[in-house]
Amino acid sequence: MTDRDDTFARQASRGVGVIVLLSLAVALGGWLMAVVVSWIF
Amino acid sequence: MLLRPDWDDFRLIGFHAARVVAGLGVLMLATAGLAVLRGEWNDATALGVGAGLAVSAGLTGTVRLRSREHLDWSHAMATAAAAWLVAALFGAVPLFLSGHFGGPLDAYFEAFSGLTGTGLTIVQDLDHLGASMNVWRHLMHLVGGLATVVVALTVFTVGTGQSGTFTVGEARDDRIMPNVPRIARFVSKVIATYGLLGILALTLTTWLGGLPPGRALWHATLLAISAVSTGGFAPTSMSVGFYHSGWVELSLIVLMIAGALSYGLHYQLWRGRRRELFLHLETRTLLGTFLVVTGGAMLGFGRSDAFTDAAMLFRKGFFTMVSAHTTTGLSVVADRLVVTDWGLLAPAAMVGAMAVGGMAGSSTGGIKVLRMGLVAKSIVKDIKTVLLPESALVVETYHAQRRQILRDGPVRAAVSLLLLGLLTNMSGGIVGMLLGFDFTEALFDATAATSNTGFSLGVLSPDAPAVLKLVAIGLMWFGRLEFFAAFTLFGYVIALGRGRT
Repeated sequence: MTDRDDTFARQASRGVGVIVLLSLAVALGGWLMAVVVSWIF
Repeated sequence: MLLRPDWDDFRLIGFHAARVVAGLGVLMLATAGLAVLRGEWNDATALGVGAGLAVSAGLTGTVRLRSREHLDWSHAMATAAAAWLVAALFGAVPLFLSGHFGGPLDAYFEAFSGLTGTGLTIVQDLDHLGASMNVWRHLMHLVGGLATVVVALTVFTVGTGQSGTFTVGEARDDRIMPNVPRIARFVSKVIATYGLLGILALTLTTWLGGLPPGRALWHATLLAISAVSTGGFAPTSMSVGFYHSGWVELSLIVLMIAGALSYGLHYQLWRGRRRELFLHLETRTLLGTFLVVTGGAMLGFGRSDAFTDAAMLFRKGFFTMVSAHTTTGLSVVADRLVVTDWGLLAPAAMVGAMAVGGMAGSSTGGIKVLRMGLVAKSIVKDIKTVLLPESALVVETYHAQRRQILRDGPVRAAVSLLLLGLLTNMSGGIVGMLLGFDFTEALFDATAATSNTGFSLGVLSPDAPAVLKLVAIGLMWFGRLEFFAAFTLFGYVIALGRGRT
């Protein structure tokens, strides 16, 4: 694939997709942390 | 020894600062157009007057100070320091004329907070502020955030412990300008993409939460701007607590995290280099510091009985910690509840999160996780040096776009900034204490101002003494400029008297 084929939409979907997944994983981690803390207290 | 600057140096700094003011004026003019379309005549007048002043001052400065000299690194640092001070002066004009501020200083504070992406607010009766004036507050976040990232990726790569611009292979060009448009274009694309996706998600979620479609779109636009530029202003006085919606909060969490990541890292990810996310020293350090401060805060919430069920711990506690660590300052609880109901551990964790901040090369404030990572690596290296035989050669490496050897220069710069950050936070707390506020509350607000975060425990309010507001403006300025740009401007002024020709 050449640079010309690497369209803005393709670049954006790659970049945004990773960050959205990362954020949701972080949020899931936060939820698990909240469940554990609520169980402790 | 300092070299005495000549008229050409100040002319160059003034020329570029004037261009910034003119640009801000054009944006203000567009906002005045919006006010006309909405029939908000008072706001249209206020924004029109502000735009007229900014455009005429900016154009006059641009024409009279026109210079063909190249902007070198010290000029660029001094320009950044001067531009923020001057731009806020013009940004404050419509705010003052809106009648929602106690005086010119309050309006300047608000504009400075907007343009530095801080989000601390001392507006009076925000819920009745005109829609177009509210748009202006948030637009200052947007341009301030964009300017911060571009400056961080170009000007602040010198002597501040950062590891380069988009790619490490790039040699430092003595001239700055060739890099700026390219970087600004990419940063604008990323901000626009997240902004539009955020507006879509937030319109849907606020509409499902009960807002009419038109209002949902307006709230969503302002919230998305605030979150992705890690600002902190919100359309209502209750901030995000107004919406009572877990989906709104989740959408904002995604936007705040995207805004807190280095745009150098975004660049790599947009080019498909996903490995960078897992290998980069900054992402690893960010994960570590986030786990520590959020874990501490969660235990604090539990111990103080502030929140004990999982849903509230997540929606209030976790959201607050994401907002603090990304130095955004969007809030889901009333400010005073932090003092009255949260005990000591959770607010202390918030202070720690704000002080550390997000990634270098983003619009976040604070010391930045890159510097924390470099200092931690340096401590590990020192421990190894003590433990290993004297003849052993200890080499510590880290990954930042490629494997790099830990050298003294970046570590020294990181330690300097860490110390300056801590000293500034403490100084702000002491000033607040001397003015009669509780030291811990003053320290909280001082840390928020220095790290450009919008949280406040009420020390910085419309009723705060004028001297405290001035100190807070100074803290926001130092924090946004990562200290050294402010020192450069001071250096120019001192060198006028003491420098040699």
